[in-house]
Amino acid sequence: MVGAVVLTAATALTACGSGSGSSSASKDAITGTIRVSAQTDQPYLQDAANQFEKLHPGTKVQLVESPSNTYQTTIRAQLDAKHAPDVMFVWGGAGNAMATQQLAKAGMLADLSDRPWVKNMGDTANGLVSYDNKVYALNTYANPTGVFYNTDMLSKLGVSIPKTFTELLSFCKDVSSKGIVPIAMGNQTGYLNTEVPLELVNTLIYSKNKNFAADMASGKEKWTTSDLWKSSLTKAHELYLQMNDAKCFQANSTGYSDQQARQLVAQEKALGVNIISAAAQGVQQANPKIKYDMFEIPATDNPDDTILTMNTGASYAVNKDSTNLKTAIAFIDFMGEDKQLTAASNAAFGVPYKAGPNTTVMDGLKGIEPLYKADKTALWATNFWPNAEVKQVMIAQDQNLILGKTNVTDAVNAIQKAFAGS
Amino acid sequence: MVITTETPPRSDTRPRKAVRGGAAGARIPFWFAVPCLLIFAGVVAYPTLQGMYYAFTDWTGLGSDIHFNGIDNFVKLFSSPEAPEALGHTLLIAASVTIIQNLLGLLLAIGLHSKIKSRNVLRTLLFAPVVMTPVIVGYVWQFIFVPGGPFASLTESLGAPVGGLNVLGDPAFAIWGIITIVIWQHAGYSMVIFLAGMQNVPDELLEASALDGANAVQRFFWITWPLLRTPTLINVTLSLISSMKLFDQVMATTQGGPGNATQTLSTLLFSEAFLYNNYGYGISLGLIVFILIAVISFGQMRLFRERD
Repeated sequence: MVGAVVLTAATALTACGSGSGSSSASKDAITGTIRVSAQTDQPYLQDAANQFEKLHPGTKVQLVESPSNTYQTTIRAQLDAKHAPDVMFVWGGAGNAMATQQLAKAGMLADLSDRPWVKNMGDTANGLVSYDNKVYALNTYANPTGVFYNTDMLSKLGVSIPKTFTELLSFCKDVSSKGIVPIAMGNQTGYLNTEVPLELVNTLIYSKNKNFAADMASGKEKWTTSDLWKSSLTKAHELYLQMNDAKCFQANSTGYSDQQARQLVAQEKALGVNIISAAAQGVQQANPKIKYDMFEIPATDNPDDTILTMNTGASYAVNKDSTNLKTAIAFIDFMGEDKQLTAASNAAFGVPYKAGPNTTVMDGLKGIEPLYKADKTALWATNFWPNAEVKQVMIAQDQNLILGKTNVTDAVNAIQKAFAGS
Repeated sequence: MVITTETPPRSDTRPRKAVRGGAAGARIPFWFAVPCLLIFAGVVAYPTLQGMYYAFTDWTGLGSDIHFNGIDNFVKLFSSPEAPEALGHTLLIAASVTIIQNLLGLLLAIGLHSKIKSRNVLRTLLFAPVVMTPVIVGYVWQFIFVPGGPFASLTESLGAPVGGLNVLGDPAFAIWGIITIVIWQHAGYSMVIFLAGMQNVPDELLEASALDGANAVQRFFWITWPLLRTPTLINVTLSLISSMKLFDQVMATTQGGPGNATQTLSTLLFSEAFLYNNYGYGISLGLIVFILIAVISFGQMRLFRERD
């Protein structure tokens, strides 16, 4: 019944909505009020809004923040009701209800292909927010993913960062034999339990085909038929189980949430935690006395193969029905300037999509700097998946895999079936 | 001794006509309710019916591209493995919570209906979880059930394997972990309703039966329990409805996992409608939940009425 009530509320919003946009400003002037939606915890947006208002007197940027757990449903209902904010936080790809490609397909976003920042983003970043060869959103930063670890504890344990998969297994055995969890895992929290397999997948795939994402986008490769994808997914899960057998993760990891896994590091019961850099700030805050760094999990025995997996950070799109389109687009252009992109990256403990000659990486991420600056990076495969169902199936399958309730072949087949259903 | 009798006023059973001018006792004209009915129709009835219509469409929840697809959503619902599995979990939760929560609530009410000095403090303490947000309760219990946490240590000391029970991380126990959380939070609510019922049991009846030689157990089963029929109906109905639509505690703890071991109809609905963009299919699940709750609720109300 709760579902019926939720859906009723959503449809009620749809039925009751009227009007659009938030300003009566002239369509040709950068003036008037725009509403900018954001998930909570995007503090740099307020700074950007203040600077924009100073730069363009007569403008007013109203931030409308929503908690992450209700953001998608709230804004989507507003979009249907033609009452959505002028500028919206969106996700890259097509993986959820507020993903750029889903919204662009439904004709809800303004075309931003001719904006000045588009050429600086790079093909990968633009590909994520493109639909039908048009760019619909600005990607502001990316978050590296890897093992966020305690550098002092590493020295005390007398172990070094593994460069190959064989070294990784030895590393796990050495660390766990000393009563410390090598890599804490919050396997109870859905998305987290798929991170290690997906990082392994990226190295296995992109070390063989650098253009895999572009090939997927162009249709040269397909998720349902790609041998490279399926063999890499299978191999990655086999390696994942080898890591589990080598005690890389704590026992009963499916009983730990992401927060509880991070606490193991803060309490110095674990050496590190596999995490997206944005969430690493929580570990630092839990125990600021610890010095941290990050390394990427190797998937092969050739150190040169390792690819740094990155997650898309905040992306921003313009509501096509905005009544103050000119100001909304001007605000996006402002956020696309180098200074603002750096501010966004730093605030989210991330990095700009493309490393420039003067790009610096923050303390705590220095370990992944060589991979980042060498452009040996790839985005989460999830960013390119055609629907969100694949991810949910993978979450369930990977939990069952760790629990010994399924095997790699069945898990991979279930994931592939979810692709086929899209 | 003077005995006086009062003759009760003769009841007038004749229907009265609506009277203009608002005289005392006059029936309220029907059209007074029209504004309320219009608002109800606009914000409840119409969206609900509209929502029901979407159960027979392929709407993604975005845009206006909606196609009627007959009973396709329901065919998918009954042929997919996920929905029947989620239905099984939902019914298990509903049955367990309804039975255990109300038994516990009744026992607590019996205990606190006595004249112990700390009864008011205990009533407050036992009712306190009810006013807490379910999500917060879920997070708190996550820390109780975490491997190495208090509950795992307790079970280890009682003979469970090293590390204790991994309640929320093991498919065999996870659903019982959630049932425990729900019962812990809502047993106090059942207790309060039973307490209210017990306070309405006439003391004379209990005293008379005591004089007739009935002991405390006999007094409970022969006098108190039959008079608790209405509170029981209320408790069973409320706990059944709330557990059939259980969502918050699951999302706050296991998110339907591990695997799909704690997936309920409500969490599946959420995934389908809001994560997978299968809005029409999601609404068909909502409709099934609605029908299930309606049928079970009416069934038990009828059962209670027949027994009366």
